[in-house]
Amino acid sequence: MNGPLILIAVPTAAAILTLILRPLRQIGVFIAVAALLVTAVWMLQAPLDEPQVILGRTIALAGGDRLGIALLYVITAAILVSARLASPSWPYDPFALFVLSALSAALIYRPPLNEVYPTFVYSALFIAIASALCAVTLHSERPGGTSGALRFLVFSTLALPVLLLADWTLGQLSQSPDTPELIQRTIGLIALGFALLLAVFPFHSWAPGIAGEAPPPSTAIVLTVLFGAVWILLLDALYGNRLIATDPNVPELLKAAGLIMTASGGLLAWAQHDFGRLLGYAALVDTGAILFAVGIRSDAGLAAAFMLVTGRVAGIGLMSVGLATARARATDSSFAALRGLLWKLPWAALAIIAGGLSLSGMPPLAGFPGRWGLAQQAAAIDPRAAAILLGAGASVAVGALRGLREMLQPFDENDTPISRERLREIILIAVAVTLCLAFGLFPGLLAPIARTFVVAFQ
Amino acid sequence: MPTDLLAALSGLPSTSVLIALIVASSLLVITADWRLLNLILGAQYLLIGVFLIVVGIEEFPVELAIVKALVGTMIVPVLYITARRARWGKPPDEDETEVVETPRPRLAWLRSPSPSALLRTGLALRAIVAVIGAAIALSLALRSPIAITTSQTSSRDISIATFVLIGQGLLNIALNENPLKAGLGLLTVMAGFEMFYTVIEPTLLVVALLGLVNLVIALALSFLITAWATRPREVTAR
Repeated sequence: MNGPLILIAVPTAAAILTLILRPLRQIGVFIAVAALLVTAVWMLQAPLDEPQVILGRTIALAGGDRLGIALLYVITAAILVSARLASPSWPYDPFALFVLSALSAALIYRPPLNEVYPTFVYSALFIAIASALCAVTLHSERPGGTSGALRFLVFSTLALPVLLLADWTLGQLSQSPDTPELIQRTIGLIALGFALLLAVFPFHSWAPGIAGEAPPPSTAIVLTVLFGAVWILLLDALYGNRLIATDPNVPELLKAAGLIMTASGGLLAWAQHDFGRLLGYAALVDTGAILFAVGIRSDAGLAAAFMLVTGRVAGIGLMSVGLATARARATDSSFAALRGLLWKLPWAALAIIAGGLSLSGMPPLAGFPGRWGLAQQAAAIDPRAAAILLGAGASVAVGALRGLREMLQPFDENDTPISRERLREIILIAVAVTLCLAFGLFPGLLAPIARTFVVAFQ
Repeated sequence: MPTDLLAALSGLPSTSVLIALIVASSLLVITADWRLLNLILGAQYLLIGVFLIVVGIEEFPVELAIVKALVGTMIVPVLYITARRARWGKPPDEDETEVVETPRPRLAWLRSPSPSALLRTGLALRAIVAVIGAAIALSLALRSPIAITTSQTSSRDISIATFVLIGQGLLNIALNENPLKAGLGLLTVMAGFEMFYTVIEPTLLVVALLGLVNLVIALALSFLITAWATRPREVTAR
């Protein structure tokens, strides 16, 4: 079997295995996680960059994509493990693995159409399949709550025609490259397609929606794994295509979109009354910051983007674990429902607050190094941009602290008694908090991977 | 027999099929009955297949048109079974509540609108919106037809079908919160886009993957409709 095909086949086989072993889910998930981790290590060393023919087209897996897929494997494995421990009733392990399989295909199957650019027709199609599979897992735990999931399905599906059109105009552009109108149209279509996929303002309404109502592991899959794959595709489109790479408007467009997104998320984050929705707005702020970092178009900007993505994964992961633990016992994740949580479920409260503060970029948590590095670079370009980035982070922190105030309230003795966290949940949260602190205190731990990432996209 | 059928289909005037397609996509916006919606969606997919055969695109493989229609007809049963399981969109406790019909005074309609009157208003509103939507899409397509084939007539007809399907699909998405109606809108947008895209990119792999995308969307809609059907009564149906 071709090397790249193994990267698609492993998660597919793992998904089928977890489906077959449904009565013995723990064993099925354990085997799937082990397979993902082994394949992630293997793919970093295997000679996958040699051109191979798949379905009649020549494919070569570039260094950045390979590292990206390996990270997606590791993140998916971490989500599956934490879902087993914190949300044992979450039934979507096979779907998560099918999503990973589709995303791997999206990043792998990009045959070069000509010497100017690799086509992303198949990537867009596989991303659409992955998005629709994600939508299956996103409906609310409350009866009838489907609005966030439906909006997600609509926006992510509408991105497909836009990206296919962009690819078509790129094809025309390679035949007549000196047509400014065509260049602008192509860039506009690519920007619109990725804006729909990444919940960029004004297409952002689904992100707080799903974060507020969907099961936390499902939200984590969308905001980390799916977004991760889309980020890699965006970087490939920006750096792998001469026509886009040399256009002076693209960095400005990215920075403007990033700032608008950060500002809009920051304006609303502090006023939220639900930790789930706060997570959604924090993710929007973070996405805006990453867009701005990519728009700087420098090695330092790319390194900051990588650190931001890592911080995002740690923050969203930690907050999701806390929310899953709390939601298993409370009615929902609103501040009112979680009043007095600190006294009843201290570990879950710790995870929610630490995750929220990490997403806001507060020291000494995982979100801090990326946000600080970006703020320094933004200040050198435009101090107002740095102020917006820092202000939006502060808004997320205010939202988290408002929630903490409710959690600190004494709980009513007449409330329905709830069970304390189980040992496995405490261990999971302790490990996640330790990792979040370690990445914040010692960002050098990630430096070798960040360097590889930057070199891959230079 | 299949050759006879294809020959018979090829003889159909493309304008008639195009009009039928416009009517079907508009009916998807107007209709609220879930049974009818499924039926119209099936008809729309069949019409798309027939349209691609009769529109007269040079060297267009007929098999692709058949694949398009087949994928559509595979989606319809999925949504039909789901809609049936979701009790055709009725709230779960509707049957338990007994509605007592009292005789209404003759001039009651002057005082307040009855539920049926409200429904008719909704129907009229949706019909107006659908007609306006179709008219806008038609005028856009006629003003700037996309030159995708060598024949001007074919390009114009494909542009009209694409614009109308995408327009009506977007209207359906914008007007509805319920997953079946919004989902049908999404599938209609995809069908409209695919009609154009299949002509410019008639490769089997792309067509197969587009079909898979549609099937997975139908699967996702099926899950969402089932989840939506468990809503409490106060969440409105439209």
